Amino acid sequence: MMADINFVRQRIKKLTKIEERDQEVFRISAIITSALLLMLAVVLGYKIYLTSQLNEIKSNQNNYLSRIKKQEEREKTFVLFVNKLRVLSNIFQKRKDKQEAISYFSQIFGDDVTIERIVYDANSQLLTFRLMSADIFSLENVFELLSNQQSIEKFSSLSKSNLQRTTSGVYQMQVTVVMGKKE
Amino acid sequence: MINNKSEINFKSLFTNRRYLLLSILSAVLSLIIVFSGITTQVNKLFDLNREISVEQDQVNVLRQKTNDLENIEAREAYDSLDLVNLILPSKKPLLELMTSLNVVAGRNDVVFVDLSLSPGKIASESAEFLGVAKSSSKNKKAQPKVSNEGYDSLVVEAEILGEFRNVQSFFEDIERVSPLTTITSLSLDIKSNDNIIRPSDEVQAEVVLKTYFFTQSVTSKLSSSLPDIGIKEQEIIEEISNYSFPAFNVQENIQGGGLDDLFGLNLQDLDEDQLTQ
Repeated sequence: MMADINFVRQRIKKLTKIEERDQEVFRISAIITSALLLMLAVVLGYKIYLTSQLNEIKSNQNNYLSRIKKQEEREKTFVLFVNKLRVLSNIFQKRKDKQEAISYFSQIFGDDVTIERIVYDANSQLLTFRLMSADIFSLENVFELLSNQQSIEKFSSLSKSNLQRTTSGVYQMQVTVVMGKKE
Repeated sequence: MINNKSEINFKSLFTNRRYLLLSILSAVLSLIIVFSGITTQVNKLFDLNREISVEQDQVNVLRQKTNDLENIEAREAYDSLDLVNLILPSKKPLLELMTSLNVVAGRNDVVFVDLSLSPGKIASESAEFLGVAKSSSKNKKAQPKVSNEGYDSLVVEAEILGEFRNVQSFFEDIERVSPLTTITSLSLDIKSNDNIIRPSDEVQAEVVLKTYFFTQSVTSKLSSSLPDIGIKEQEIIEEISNYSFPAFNVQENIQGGGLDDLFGLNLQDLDEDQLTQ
């Protein structure tokens, strides 16, 4: 009896197997491609949404800008007002140092010592006093007051100079103070 | 023969491996979607999101600024606008200073023995608001030179005479009037024989005063927020509310003299011969 040899059947079986595997690969790749397409659609949709939001924000911005432009005169007045306050604050701070220094020395010297002359330089914060005293004891007291810890700590620098006795027997002295506390 | 074979192979490939070819096509499509579609668009989305965030912040600033501007009168500090303008005017306050000196001297019973000052240009506007900053050369030329500190001062030298207590009181009061004035130098001439000053003694004082005026050129961007009024500024408002503001009446009409003969010369009294001579 002759053996039944069928090569086509083997081949068809093999091809069917390959086709099934290819189908499976295609199914997976189709799913991935569809998912990516969906993702692209979502991204594009979100982009459209964001673009419309940006347009809305820009339109709001233009609306506010036109309202601000209408109030230009008010803004101008207010900005000048605030800048003037800042300038005043700066001037007041310098003046305050001077006023405090004068007030401090007026109090500590007492009635026997007269401040005869005061010169103030706002830029260098320099305050110069010319003191006058009828007797040397009062002036000695002034020396002690100027040398105490409170006076030294209160100012950046404090110096005494030009001590002299006039023909009328009055003692004069110059005190120079650089305002601002020691750092 | 070879061509025939390859044709047969292609045919067999298309017939037997069509799903594989479709898979390859699908993979290529996926790569195109990923690289030229999704990646690019996602980058654009991030840029868009950043832009929205920046623009939204800007809108918030603008909204706040619009509300602030529309309700600016509700701010308590804004009530002091006129006082601040009187204390620190935007032009040289020569006449205002003269008025204040006169009022303070009268109030304290002291008299001016001498008064000197160099006002320079008195009618020039010193402060201005430049609005949105522009950088054209024409504008740069037109801008006046201003001090870095934002103010300038007018110096007045004066000699005053009065009782010592009144002179002292004058010194205190002159630093609390509009326009803002400060004493930069003062020297006392004591007239008592024993060189001891008593409150009722008459003294003559040489005083140098400085009156400040605003010279800053202020710029503001349309999209920038309004400046804040801080604690320091609030303190200044409180401080100046205790100052005195002597009334200064601006003269708007020519008083006296007449319009036809401004210098009061009666030209009709002169005959033609005198005029030709």
